[in-house]
Amino acid sequence: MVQAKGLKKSFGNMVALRGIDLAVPAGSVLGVLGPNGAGKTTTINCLTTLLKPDAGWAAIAGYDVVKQPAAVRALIGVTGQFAAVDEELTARENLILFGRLLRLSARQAAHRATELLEQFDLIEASKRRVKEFSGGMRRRLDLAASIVAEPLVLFLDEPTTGLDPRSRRQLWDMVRALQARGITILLTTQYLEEADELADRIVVIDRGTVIAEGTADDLKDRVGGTFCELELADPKDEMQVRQLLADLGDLQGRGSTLTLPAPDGVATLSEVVQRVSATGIVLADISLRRPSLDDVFFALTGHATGDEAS
Amino acid sequence: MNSADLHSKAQSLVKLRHESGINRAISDSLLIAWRNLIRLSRTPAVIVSVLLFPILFFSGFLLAFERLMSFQGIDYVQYLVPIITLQAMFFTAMGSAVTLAKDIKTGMLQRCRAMPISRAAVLGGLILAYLVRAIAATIILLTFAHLYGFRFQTSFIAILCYLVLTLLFTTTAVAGYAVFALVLRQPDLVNSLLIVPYAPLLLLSTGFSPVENFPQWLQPIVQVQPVSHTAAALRALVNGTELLVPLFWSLVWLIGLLIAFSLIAVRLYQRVS
Ligand SMILES: Nc1ncnc2c1ncn2[C@@H]1O[C@H](COP(=O)(O)OP(=O)(O)O)[C@@H](O)[C@H]1O
Ligand SMILES: [Mg+2]
Repeated sequence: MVQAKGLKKSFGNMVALRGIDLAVPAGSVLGVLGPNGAGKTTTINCLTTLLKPDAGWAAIAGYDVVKQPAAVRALIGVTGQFAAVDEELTARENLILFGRLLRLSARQAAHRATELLEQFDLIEASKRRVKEFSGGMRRRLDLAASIVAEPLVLFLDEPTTGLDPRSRRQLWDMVRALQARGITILLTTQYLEEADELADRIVVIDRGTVIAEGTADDLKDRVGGTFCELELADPKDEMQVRQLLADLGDLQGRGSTLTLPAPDGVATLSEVVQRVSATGIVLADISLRRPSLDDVFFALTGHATGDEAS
Repeated sequence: MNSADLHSKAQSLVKLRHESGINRAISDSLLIAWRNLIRLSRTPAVIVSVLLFPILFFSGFLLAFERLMSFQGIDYVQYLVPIITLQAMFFTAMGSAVTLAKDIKTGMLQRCRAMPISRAAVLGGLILAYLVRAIAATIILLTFAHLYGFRFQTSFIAILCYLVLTLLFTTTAVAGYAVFALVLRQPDLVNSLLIVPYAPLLLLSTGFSPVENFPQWLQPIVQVQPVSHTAAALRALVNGTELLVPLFWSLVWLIGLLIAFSLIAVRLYQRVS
């Protein structure tokens, strides 16, 4: 449904994309994962006809983004990185405006606006001006505006960056609902967790190139999955704890801080707690640590995110 | 959906949501104008200032120069109204530049660019909305001037022509200021430089004072520029003096600039990011 081959783009002598390849099969969700400045927004801009790539080729449903931009625009919905809705208009007026611009009749647009306001939990705020909205409400409205007339392909650029956890979950649910309706989705994110929650496949990009591709599990396996971190109240207990947990996996670290791979997540953690507390050893702290984008990055590239040395 | 279904769905969407053609341009411009008018109606401070400023300038210039001009044999009320009308149109166009710069900043323009809407609609919608404001400003100003004794010495047709020429001037000014906003982009920058095209064009014109009152070396420039010709044509429509020459040059300037500004604005719009 979405295909790109060798997309390149420079701004002056700043090379933003060095040849991006990606493909999103119809009805699936692709997560484009990368740190700030990796080229996510530039990739989306090339695919949505906002920027002309310097080299390479991309198509939406077979329509070339450079040669048939008008056809591509007819098929896509775009939610940019910064919620772009009209601040002075109400939520309903925004949706009606975009609906009318997308060729719905006045009546269809009004009907669709009501439907979307309900779906996106904005019905109570529908008569308020957008400038009074919270960040989460704005994002939801932005998303609603992108699907007023159902697009075949939806592009979401960092849809939850800057949102509180509750709004984030809410937005995730909405994205899942759109996928369930068969919309093909390409979303970018800086969070491995988000890509993991939403995407069927993930493409990791760094400095304008694709450095890894696969499912969330593939990527996590390359990093080693979830860890259980435990901190002992007394470092002298280290040896005893090592023996106690030896059969659970390869225990790393030394002194009071130990790390254990926790493929079963919470189950591993509670097993550790039970065994340790049965012996009367005191834990200062215990937690699960999931691999973050930083860990994935480090594993894939050997350098940290945002680390400019190459 | 299987791939054949998808393909035909894509085809029908591409057909339905085409963005070229004059009909598309008009209907999309009307929608964007509707949106701009809603915005305008919700910023009362702007409305008041735009409608009041021309009246303040009119009264001010009259108080300062009416006696002076009467020594030159000029009925200053009759002389002044056309240039104050054009000044009000400049204010209107400046308002449109600020709106456009805000839309660039919020990403609204970016969103429009990724939608299948006419490439001319953002400019068209801006012009249409600000024409509505221009009509309101002109009517209020003329009504106020009437109280000061301002009268059309001509026909009803001339009054209509006065309005039409004023609106053509506004259209060109909005297109020009759209280019201005699309080049500068930052709302603060746009705001602080609004006066740059306006002040020289307005002050170095024959609108406030006849060309003889300018220094010799400046006179050719003052005489040839569009605001002078348009003000002269409007004065002719008010007072029934020689119309054809100033009207001709005014139309040449305004239509020529309008075409140039529109083409540039639509091109710049397609590159906004
Ligand atoms: N319009 C532009 N002009 C100059 N440089 C740009 C422009 N847009 C993006 N860049 C640069 O290109 C690189 C990729 O940017 P971007 O695609 O926005 O990354 P991301 O969305 O992943 O954070 C960055 O280094 C950024 O500074
Ligand atoms: Mg970005």
